[in-house]
Amino acid sequence: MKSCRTNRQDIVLLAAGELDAGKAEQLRAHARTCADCARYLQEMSAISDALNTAATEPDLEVSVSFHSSVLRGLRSGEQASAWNWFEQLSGTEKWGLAAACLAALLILLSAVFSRTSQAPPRNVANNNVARHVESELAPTLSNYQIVANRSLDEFDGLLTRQANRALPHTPLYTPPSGSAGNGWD
Amino acid sequence: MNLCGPVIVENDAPDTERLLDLARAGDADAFGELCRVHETRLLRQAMLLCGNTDTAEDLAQETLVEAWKSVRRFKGRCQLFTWLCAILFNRYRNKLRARRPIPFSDLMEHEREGIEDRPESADDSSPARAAQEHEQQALVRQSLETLPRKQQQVIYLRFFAGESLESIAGALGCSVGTVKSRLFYGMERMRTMHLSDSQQARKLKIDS
Repeated sequence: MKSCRTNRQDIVLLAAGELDAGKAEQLRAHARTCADCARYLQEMSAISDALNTAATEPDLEVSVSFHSSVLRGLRSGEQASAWNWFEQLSGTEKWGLAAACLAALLILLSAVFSRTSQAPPRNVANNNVARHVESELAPTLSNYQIVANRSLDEFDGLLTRQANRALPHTPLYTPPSGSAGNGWD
Repeated sequence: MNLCGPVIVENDAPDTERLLDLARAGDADAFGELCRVHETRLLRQAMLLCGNTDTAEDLAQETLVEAWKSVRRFKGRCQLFTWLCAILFNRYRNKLRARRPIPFSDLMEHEREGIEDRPESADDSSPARAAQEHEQQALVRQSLETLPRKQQQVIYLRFFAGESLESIAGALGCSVGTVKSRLFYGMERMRTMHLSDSQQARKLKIDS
């Protein structure tokens, strides 16, 4: 037999009439030799008896209008929607659900903010893009004017980048075919 | 005994199953037929909980309408009546919370009326015994009222609605082991309260 403390749940089940016959007999036999378990069984049986007495169904019949009221209620009541489901929750469950939604929202917001802080600042990114575009600008006077008007430093950087860019080798002067000399002859 | 496996309970009558299928498909008349079968017993259960005929009728009607609204969620893991009792209990608790000043035990007017209306019998000890029984029942209800909701729910479904532990587990969507545990802690708490009340009464007797 288990120690008396661990018998307590079985004693409650025995008092409530929910213990299977074999186990119940075993426990009753133990209670005959154990004063603690016998007292516990007696106390629990008293609680169980009091509950059973309090639970005696009153002799009551439904009124004549009861069923028709129910039918009216059924016809006017819509079947389950999400809102009905929410309404059926108890106060604690509603608060629990609200707390869970709030926690989920906070987690979502913190995830969005942490991603934003990891990304480079927006203006830096724009500058990089602008620089990339500008390095591709055609070397025309109007383009140079636009960049120079914005910042002389940028203009200087643009010129440097364009100068450093590997340009395809094109000779500045190609002598006309068939002439051997420099044209001054 | 099944401790944590799937809960299997005997099904309702085949006709109930057919009517339930129709109700799930939106047939209010089919659900009305089911209501007709269970309404008297449900009203008695409501009366046991609140103790007032008018409130009990309202409570039973609201329970049936609420059951209709969510009948699609009833998966047949317990008897239909057990499920109705679980809804009834939750509605009762919500009502009680909304009108907090009215205590559970004070609502049991039918018991007082029953005792007051009882004719004086030849047995002289009868009124005294009735009063004692009434006092005992009031104490039981008071201690039941102070239990946490889940323990109170299991004790109500087991003792008041007379449901099996398997059926209760099916209605509440938990394991039989959980139901046993709630029953144990609930009754243990009631015992502790009962003992402390008895000790207090004994102390008062000695002091006087």
